[in-house]
Amino acid sequence: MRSVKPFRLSRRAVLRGAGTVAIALPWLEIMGEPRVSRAQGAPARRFVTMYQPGGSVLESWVPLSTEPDFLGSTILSALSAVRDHVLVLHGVDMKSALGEQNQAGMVALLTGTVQGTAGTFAKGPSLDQVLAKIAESPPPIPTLELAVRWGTGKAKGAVSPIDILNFADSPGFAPIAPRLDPVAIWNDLFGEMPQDAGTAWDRSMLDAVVGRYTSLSARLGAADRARLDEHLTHLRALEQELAAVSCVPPELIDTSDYDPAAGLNSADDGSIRDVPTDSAIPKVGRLMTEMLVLALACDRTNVATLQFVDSAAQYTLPWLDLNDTHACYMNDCGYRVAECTTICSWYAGEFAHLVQRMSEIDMGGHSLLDESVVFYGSHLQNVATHMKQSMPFVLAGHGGGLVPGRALTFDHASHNDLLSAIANLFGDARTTFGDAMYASAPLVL
Amino acid sequence: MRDAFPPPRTSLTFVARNHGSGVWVLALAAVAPFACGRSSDHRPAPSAGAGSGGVSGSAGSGVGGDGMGAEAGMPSTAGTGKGGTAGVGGTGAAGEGGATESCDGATAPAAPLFRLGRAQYENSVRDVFGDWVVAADALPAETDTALTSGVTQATVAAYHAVAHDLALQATSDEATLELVMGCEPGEAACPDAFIEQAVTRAFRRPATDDELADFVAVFENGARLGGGAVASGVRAVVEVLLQAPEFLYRVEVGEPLDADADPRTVGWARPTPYEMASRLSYLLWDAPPDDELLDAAGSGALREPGTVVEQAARLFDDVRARPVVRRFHLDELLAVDPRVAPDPTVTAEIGALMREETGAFVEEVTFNGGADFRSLFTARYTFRNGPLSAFYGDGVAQGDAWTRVEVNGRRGLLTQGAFLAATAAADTTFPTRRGRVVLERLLCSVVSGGGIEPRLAPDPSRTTREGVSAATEPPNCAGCHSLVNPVGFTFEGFDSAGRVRTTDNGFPVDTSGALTISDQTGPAADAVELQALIGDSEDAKRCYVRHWMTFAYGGSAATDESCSRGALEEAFASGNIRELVLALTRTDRFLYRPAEGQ
Repeated sequence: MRSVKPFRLSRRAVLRGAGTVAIALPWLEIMGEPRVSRAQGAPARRFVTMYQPGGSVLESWVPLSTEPDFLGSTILSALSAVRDHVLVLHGVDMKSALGEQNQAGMVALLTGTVQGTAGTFAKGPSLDQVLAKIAESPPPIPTLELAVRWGTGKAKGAVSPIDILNFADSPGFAPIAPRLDPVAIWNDLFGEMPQDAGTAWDRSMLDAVVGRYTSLSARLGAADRARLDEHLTHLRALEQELAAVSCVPPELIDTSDYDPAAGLNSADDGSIRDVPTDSAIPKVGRLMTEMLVLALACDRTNVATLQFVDSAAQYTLPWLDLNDTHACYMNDCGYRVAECTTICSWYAGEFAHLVQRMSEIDMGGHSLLDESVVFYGSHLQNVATHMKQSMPFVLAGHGGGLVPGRALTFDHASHNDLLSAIANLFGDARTTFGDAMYASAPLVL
Repeated sequence: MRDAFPPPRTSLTFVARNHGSGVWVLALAAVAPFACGRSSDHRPAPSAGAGSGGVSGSAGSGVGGDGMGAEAGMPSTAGTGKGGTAGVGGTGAAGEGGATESCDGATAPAAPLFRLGRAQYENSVRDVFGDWVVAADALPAETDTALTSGVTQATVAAYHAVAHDLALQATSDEATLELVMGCEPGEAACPDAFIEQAVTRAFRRPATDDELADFVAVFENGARLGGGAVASGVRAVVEVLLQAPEFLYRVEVGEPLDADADPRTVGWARPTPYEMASRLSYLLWDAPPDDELLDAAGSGALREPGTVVEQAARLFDDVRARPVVRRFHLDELLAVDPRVAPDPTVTAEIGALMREETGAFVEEVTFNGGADFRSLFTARYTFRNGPLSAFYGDGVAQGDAWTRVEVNGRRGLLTQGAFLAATAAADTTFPTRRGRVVLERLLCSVVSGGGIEPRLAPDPSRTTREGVSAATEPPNCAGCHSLVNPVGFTFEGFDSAGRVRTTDNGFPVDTSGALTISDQTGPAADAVELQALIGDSEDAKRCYVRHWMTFAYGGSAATDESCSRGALEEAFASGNIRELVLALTRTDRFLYRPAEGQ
């Protein structure tokens, strides 16, 4: 028997859209730190990271000089439907990614710290863990880490610098294992929500309340009736707001063909295959995406990471008619540009889907995306050279005054400064993040 | 697999504490928004006499717009459109001044619909569920006038949020559920018994059969939504009950008068006995009627004005009346909140101590010190605890306990931090504000800033007084400021945090001034002398009566109810506060109401 009640429809979601907010909301008061003033006002509230394996294909990422559209290239064109919500970043280098060629990228991506010795973990917290602590009133789940087809290759399903992105904001910076089992995740996030979760209960209760005002009002004199009618108007507005808030658990589709622990049964060289599980990646990915988005909408958490596979990438992609491993197409079989481009385009499309879903969730007058910042990337840029310059990074969202719908080009900027710039969007005023040697000042986004 | 999650958090936080005796205490705590910045349509009528009319006239820009706006440290006392009220007041002043109004009772006294104020709501929730529910600052603060004039979207949303969360917590475990239901949840008869008891308690009168049927339906619907669980049904009842109009509002339908009623009151009605019980208990205790009042209602005894006054006396003399008296003086009479004082050294904690000082002071005057109006301004004592004394730097108290003390140079309400800090600026005193607040709140004068309240930039080369005098010298300013400044200057012996000072920017302070716009207009060497004049002022007493009328009767009662006001001014002739408050329950306004449908 769990000791804690699941967090239901958020009072904050209701009050936020109410116009004159009389009750202090969390996230608007940052303890101690001076607020960064952004043109658009309130700090961002939600931070989402999406990781894809296998870097990108730079020549299909950067638009040609003849292309006026900032999404011009093959891969980024997958973001067309959400162009107004994405901010493409060029010229950002992961300077702190020093260590084993793949592991260092995983370690540094969210921490901005150097791995150094192969096999070791981060020397600082990951940005998501830090941002989770900003909230004055923490949600039931401080951070949510979800992974699809995780722990392949040498990691063999274990926590390893090959497959971990998130590191705790506490001494030791312990690696945080992602959640893998979609059914267990669903049960944990949504399983104990009472049958009357969300709108059904609230609608029913408010109905009864409204009924009392309506019938009493009819029995009173004009002046009193006017007072109760005013109250009634506000109740009806409240009803509409509650109806608009989209906290409805996602459907738990059948994922019995997917083995979340498939990583345990891995070979270093990817020779052990699990085609059924690999085939289920798209639908499990969509389910994880949906659970992540609804976990935010239902205020179960404010910070989430969605990780597709890991830096070993020893999995196949049958739905793309790619029956060798991703690692094969990156390296093991020689660098295959066409296949890698196809794979990266597919992931970009999944990122677009995540952004699209967030833009569709009405939080009471604005969308979930409006109050969020999403960070999409990989642990390196070039799979052949393992180079980590010109990282394939994209931001999405409008939280904290972020202005998307364009691309920004930097000149070998350090990604540490991107991490601190993201922190600034959340009202955290720090000027450096991660290893100070690679941090100077937050990028101007 | 994961650590235990923290409990659900909303902006209204519930903390369950087990007091070891097995009794669960649910503390309902939320971050309270600031009390200032809400417009109040309270505008005490200008004091009677040609004087106030003269002020309006000579102020020139005065009457039209008085958009003082919201100031830190004070609930806003003005808003747009007040010009209209002021204009009317200004015109009416002369008429109201004399005893020329006829009290022939042509129309029944008004009876605006009262919504529960914050303290009242909290007390009422505790009454329904028992003392183990501790509610603190669950709702936004509002002025008393707001309670009879309207309700905002934010407040309705807050009622919903509180009801929802309280209902959830109250039914979240077996022990609490049983405590709430008052019977064994598994017993067949328990739900109905609970419903009857809860509705009766919440509505503050016996529930009708229709009402009980309504709530049985709510229970059944809630149970159904919760998979048949009794707890879910109870949760629904609680959530709906706490938002019901019969709970949030003091609904009155009234009843006809007896056939042998005073001919003067033909065509009038009166509150029903249960409605009268609520009138008494909410006026004097900010709470629902106790069992003795409910018995007096049930027997019909409260139809007798004599019983009403008897009960009023019982309630006033009970300790539960003391917070109400404190609330009246701080929030209605002075309308100051030092917890949001502009001076940053007056933190919210210090401000709370200052409120406690003034609260304890008015309580002492009223209940232990003879209940004399004059004493509010001339009593030599005040209250301190260690931290407040340290803040003021007067070394008269140590430790956390509050003690009654005497402090040199301080006497009366207006030499206390609550007033002084709330009417200052961040880094200097604000004499024009202090003067205006005294004239408006204590003398019910209409003083307008012509739409803005400019503040001088601090000037270290001279005293604040000198700067203000120079800036307000021009003829179009002087008309108003010649009346405001002398009052405000008497407080220059206290800085922006309410501490005693003898110099300002290194120059000696000059506290000479005067009381203006009153029957006690005359020079005052300092704040003590100023208050002596106020204490002797009939205008101030009349203004005080108006404030109690607004507090007790709502809205524009002070301007509307000239007959009741006359009676109250008579009752207050000796300046006895207890007499005045009890007299509030003897007026037409309190004893009668319009007939149904009017």
